[in-house]
Amino acid sequence: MAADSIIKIKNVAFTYQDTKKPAIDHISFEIKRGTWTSIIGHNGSGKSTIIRLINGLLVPDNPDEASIEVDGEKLTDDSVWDIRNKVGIVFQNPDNQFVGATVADDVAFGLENRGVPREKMLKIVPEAINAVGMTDYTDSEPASLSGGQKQRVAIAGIIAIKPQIIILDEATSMLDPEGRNKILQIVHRMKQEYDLTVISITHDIDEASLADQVIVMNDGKLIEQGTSSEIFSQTELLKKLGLDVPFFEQIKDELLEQGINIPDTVNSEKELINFLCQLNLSK
Amino acid sequence: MSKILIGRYVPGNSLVYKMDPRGKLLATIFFILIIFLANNPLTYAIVTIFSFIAVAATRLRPKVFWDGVKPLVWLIFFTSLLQLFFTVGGKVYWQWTIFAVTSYGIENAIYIFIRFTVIILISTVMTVTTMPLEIADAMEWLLTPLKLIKVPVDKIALVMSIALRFVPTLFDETVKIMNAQRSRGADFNNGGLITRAKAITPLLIPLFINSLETAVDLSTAMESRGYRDDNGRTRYRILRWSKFDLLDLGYFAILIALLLIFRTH
Amino acid sequence: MSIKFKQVSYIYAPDSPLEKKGLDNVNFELQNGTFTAIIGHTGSGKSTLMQHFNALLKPSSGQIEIAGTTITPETSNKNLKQLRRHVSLVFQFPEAQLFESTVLDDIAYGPKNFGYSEKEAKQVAQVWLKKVGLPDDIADKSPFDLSGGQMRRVAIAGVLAYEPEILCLDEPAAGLDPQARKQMMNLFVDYQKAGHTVILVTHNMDDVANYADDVLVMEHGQMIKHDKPQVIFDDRSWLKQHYLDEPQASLFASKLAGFKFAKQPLTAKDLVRGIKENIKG
Repeated sequence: MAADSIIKIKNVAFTYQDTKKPAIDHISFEIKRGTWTSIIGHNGSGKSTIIRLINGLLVPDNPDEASIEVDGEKLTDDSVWDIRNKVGIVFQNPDNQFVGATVADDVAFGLENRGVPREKMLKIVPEAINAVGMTDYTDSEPASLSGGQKQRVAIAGIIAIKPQIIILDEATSMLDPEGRNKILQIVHRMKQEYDLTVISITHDIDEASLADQVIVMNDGKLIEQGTSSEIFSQTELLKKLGLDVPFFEQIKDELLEQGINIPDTVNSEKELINFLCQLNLSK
Repeated sequence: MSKILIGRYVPGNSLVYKMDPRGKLLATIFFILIIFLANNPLTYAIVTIFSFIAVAATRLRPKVFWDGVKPLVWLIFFTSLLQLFFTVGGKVYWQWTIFAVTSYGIENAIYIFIRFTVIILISTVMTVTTMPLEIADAMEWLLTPLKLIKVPVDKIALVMSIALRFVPTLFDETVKIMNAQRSRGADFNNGGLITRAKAITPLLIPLFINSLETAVDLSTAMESRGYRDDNGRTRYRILRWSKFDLLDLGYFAILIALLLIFRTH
Repeated sequence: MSIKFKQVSYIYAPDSPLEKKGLDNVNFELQNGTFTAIIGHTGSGKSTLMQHFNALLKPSSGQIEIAGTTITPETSNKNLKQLRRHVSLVFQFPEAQLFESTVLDDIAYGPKNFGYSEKEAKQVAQVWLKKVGLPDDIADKSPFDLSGGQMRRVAIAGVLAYEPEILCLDEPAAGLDPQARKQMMNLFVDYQKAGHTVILVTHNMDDVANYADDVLVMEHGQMIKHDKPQVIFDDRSWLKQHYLDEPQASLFASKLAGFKFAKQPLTAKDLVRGIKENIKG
């Protein structure tokens, strides 16, 4: 599949008011349609800022040189609402994005904003709620839901507007492990079902390693971009940036230090386990 | 405390719950107005009986209604006592300086007592059987005519519904911050007024900052979900009249008729 | 001295339609100076349990002995200061409790409440500012100008500053990046080693494996197990039955078919040693 780039970012810079240092320092990258991309970097590295630029919540410092293109459409004042129809963001805090009085009302919010007729909403809303497995809670108020359930509702609200891209902005970081796994499962399924492009901004190494592509950010700069095994095998770099290293990479490193020879071709947990088992048998 | 904040909705499924909030809101307002039609023992008796039937129709425990009346019990007694001692006219039973108990006084005191109590009972019927959100919807409907004079009723309604939705969230946050400061030795229970006022700063500032952050997050989320500051929004939640709604309005219509017939002209 | 829970039950909103059991006949004893982890799913009663340690919640029945105080359902809400000076709680996302105009004043707030003089309070604040790894020059800044991670440290310094004997923490590292997380956990280990009791409420089994020497497992308001981490994590079928995760090292070890471990490895260090012993046999 020779996929085109659904997102093209060129030479974008952004500085927050009252600060001198740019939060985003002339970044360029592309994201292929239908892929899962993880953006990692420690707090304050500019990860969240970049996605707010993608859907026009923030405007670059250098509008003349910078260019942001989503699904073939250049982001401008005129196209920004169009682009927001294509990009759905699940934010970090489950409570602070739940607008509706009940689950159904919240899922309908995006549709109401787009002036979708009520008869259509009556069809779309239950479908979207069903897609995230929240049908039993259709009329529940947010106060009676867990953080994970609220995030599922947020996903339903996005699915309802049929976007091309879904962005998880540390969407699982306030959840317990159960809630986190459930959200990732759902996003995975949605990606298949609706042919979505997924961008996840995360600290969670397990979440990041689901990605086809990983982008590493530091101090507003993009410093590395590659497949997840390409990125996560650079354990020195990750440690230097204060990022987590996948567990099997930690073990691999320590075994290497202990003088156990592990070939470079071992690049996943499965490969490491296979290699160790064979080594054990052949001793 | 949470009860005061969240409203006093008590889940249930009697007939009163099935009525449209607009009907209930109208009926409540209606009732408060027509109660002034009563002006003799018979009409007050009718009003009392009608109120108790409405209370009974909710099928809730009497305690729910007692909780509604309780906070105002002193006000009712005090007002009734004022009537009792200061009304002049009729037969005088007892007099001391400016105080006098007269037959009019006794009558008025009883009427005031009944009027107060039934108004509270009927508004309690409304608030315990209608979710705050529904009340907000009903109020929006009542305000709809204001659209003609360019009052942004839709926006006010959205703000009201978001405000209601965040009450429990902020309540939880308050409890959490209170507990955190208590753990750091804050004392919200002891001391005089000034000490307590001071003790509340460590609660209010974090709560305020937290609310601001919530507001910023919320507006970001709303914008990213396509909310824009112009019209053309459609509505998912709408209210529908049902056959039960004729019931409460009809009920009060009969009440008016009875009052008009039996009041002293 | 130890912490004793005797038949402690707690009921939320008693005699109302929303009545709910928060704790159900909980009994245990924790030794002072230990690092205890409390694990269990969301809603299992961990937070309710934690709030009993310094009488933010009082048992509906039963009694608690902690730091020289006995808490019963009759305990008055007044005069709890001494208890709270000795037993302190750090809630999830504690940066939400900051309120003073400077970092130093905020850290000094707790100590002042517990009877330190203005000068003493500022002194200990200065000391703990450094101990939690914050630079000196932020002392006079507004806490609201700091990064999230720094705010978290200020909040925690504000509790450590009066050196409670017993420190209870609810997911103190949640939302921090890995490096900050490790530093944070090390801070608590150091605090324990300096002679205090640390109680950690967590979902992170690696933290349990790495730091705890005692574990309480909660489920539906009941304490279903109280044992050493090694014992708890050895019983894999029991964990599965209660939908509890394993530490990554145990999970990895379980996939190594044909390997024999003298002891189930719980940490990366144990695992590497175990693998080496197997291979070099």
